[in-house]
Amino acid sequence: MDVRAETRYRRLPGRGPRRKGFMTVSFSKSSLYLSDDHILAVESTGFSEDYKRFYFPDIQAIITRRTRRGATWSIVLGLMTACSLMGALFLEREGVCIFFWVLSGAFLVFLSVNALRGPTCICHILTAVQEDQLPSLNRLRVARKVIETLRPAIERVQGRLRPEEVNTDQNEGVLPAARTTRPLRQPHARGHGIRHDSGTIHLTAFAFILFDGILTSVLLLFHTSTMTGVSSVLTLIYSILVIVALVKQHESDIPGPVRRMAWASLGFVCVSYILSYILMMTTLMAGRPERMMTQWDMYRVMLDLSPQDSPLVMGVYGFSATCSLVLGALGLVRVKRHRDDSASASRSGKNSGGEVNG
Amino acid sequence: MEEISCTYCHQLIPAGYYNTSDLIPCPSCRTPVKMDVFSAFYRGLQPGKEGETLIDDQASCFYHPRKKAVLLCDHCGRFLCALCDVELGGRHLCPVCLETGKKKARIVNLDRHRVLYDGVALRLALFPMIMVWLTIVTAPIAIYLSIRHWNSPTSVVRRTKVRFILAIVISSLQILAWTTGIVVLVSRR
Repeated sequence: MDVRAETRYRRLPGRGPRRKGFMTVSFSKSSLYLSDDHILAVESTGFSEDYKRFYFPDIQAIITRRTRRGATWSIVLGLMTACSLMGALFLEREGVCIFFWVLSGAFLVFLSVNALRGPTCICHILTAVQEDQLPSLNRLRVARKVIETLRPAIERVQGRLRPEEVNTDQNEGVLPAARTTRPLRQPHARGHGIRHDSGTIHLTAFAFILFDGILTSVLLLFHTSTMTGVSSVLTLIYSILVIVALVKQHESDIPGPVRRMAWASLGFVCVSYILSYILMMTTLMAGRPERMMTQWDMYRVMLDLSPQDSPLVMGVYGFSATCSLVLGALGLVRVKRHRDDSASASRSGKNSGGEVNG
Repeated sequence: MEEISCTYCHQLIPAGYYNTSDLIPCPSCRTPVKMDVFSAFYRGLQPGKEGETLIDDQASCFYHPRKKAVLLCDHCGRFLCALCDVELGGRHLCPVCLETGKKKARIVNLDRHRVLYDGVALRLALFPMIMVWLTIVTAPIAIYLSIRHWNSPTSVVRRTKVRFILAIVISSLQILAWTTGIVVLVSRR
């Protein structure tokens, strides 16, 4: 009974890691193979492979969902390119200029590749007993191509779905919330319920960002090293808080606008750090390297930098103050709105419960 | 009727949104989704087969003497009732042969995990080249692994021996280089 050489596989387009968020660090790559009677999902680390087989008669549906990962990467890479170009244009030393030109070129290549690959998506395959992700189908164009390849193979086994089998009433609308939340059929029995989050971490993070924005605005007019030190400590605190908020908002009932503000804050934090780095490099190259022998020396020189010293410092302070004030204020308003909505919903829930009991 | 959830907000999506030509916004979270639904979704799980009860002098199942035999196991030839018949890749097997085949990794369609010895050997030959001195240890190990696992099952989807061959060639060259270096050093003294 040796059935080893019987199955022949054809590789389907697409390859990618199993994703659990915006950034995924994974050494395993997943790909799909097509056989006569099943699809084989292979997850390979290079040292070993794990297999999952989805037989054509068992496949109930393939669900494709567009994601914003590609667009977000484009924004991040665009900002990186812009910052590198700034460094290349503003710095005077030839060696550093070349370094930044090369860096901006590399970011531009990544940006172009990301744009050419098209919009991103996540695909799930549904059978009677599980719902599993197909990590290799991470671009919409590839997903469409693979589904078009699979459809005839699946329909050959299952038969074509007749229109009368599907209730095509487009006016069914959204189902009432009480019966809508249903856990997904996951192979790893993960709890997929949406939990309630009051947004306290978001509120704290946005409050810190707003406070830092006010402090930076004051620093634009009256610069002191102590206040700059306090501002850098605040930046460190809200950077951590923003990351915690992003983790906490995953699979929670935090509304979309608050989520987007948290992501925007992370983008702002990243850009701030890059700008600070460029500022430090510029100061270092501007003829004061002898004052910056250690990390502490560098920090002290950065604390002494006044917006009045150069247009670049003024620009960085101005950008930082504007973004902090806008992000902080808008974020606070949106979290407040979410908290108010949650409070009124729980009050109405209690009232209706009381009426039923009464 | 059974309905599918949005993979983002986990809210049920009505049947009117299935099999559309392009992505459409989820009615709850407005995330663009596309549901390609097939007939199996409406059929659900099919009931399992039942063995027929034996009448008079009919042949009985090897595992269930009171059930009527309907076919033979393709591997051991035992009589099987409909309950004991397991169809896999167009072959009919009895539960014992299936279990044995799974344990001895003889049925490729039941394999869920494989160690890629060819990949291990090739990486063992290549990666230590960054720190040259490590190759004195890793090159013989790579050759040993390649020879030891030459006939071991490799990936289900690719079956060439090219990685083993490359590992042997690269490791042999490394050993040759080390031998030449040592000989040159000794002869200079």
